[in-house]
Amino acid sequence: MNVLSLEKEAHRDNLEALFSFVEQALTTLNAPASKRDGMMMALDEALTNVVLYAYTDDHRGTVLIHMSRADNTLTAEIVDRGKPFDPTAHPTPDISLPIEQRPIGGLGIHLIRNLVTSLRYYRKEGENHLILTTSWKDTL
Amino acid sequence: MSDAVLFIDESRQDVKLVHIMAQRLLDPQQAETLARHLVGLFDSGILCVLVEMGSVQRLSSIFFRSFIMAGKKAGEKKAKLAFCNLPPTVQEGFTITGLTDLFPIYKNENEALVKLGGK
Repeated sequence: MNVLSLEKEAHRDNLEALFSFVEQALTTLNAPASKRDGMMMALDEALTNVVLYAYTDDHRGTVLIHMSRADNTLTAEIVDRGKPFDPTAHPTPDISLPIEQRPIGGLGIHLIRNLVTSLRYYRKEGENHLILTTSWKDTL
Repeated sequence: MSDAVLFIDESRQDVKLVHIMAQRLLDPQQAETLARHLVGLFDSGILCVLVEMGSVQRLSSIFFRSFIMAGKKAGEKKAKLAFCNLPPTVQEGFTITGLTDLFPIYKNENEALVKLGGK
């Protein structure tokens, strides 16, 4: 199986390189157009979360992304050594609230959940592993 | 992350039209810039802001923060924040996060300006 990987320091200056990698990887893996945009948006969110929130200023680290495709399933795994954070346990925001009661943030994880087929998290040996998959039927 | 022009403002009678020029709205710093700009428009007394997003191909939820902040300010000022020309990916993001229930969304600039009194 063809696995494409990139590791960068988790810094704002590297976001552009990470986003470009995702875009190129989805092309290389021949992701169908109908799944490509959703996966790209979900990965943009997940990578931004790591870069902005995983590490503290006095403890910087890296973000590693692996992307692969097996038959009709695309898988992306994001690994960091930052603070433990399980997005799958994050509460679902109440998106029916009126504007004056709406929290400013908290929409990124909600967006990820709704854009992928599955979202899994585990922590092992000081690393956060977030695995996003999107699947489709042959008829696409 | 990018030095490209983020937005251009245009006045149409009572409506301030903000054209988003960037194709990728992903940069946290740009999100802060846009939030400050939109909030500043309402603080300056403008009562209707229409954000035109036809150029946007890729959008991060950090920009939804900007829109919600601006929407709260619009509410305080009894003003209106609306959007038009949402490409399909952007529309999907707005729908999933419920922003379609918070703001008027118009198919295109003409329709929006007619409805909002800018034409």
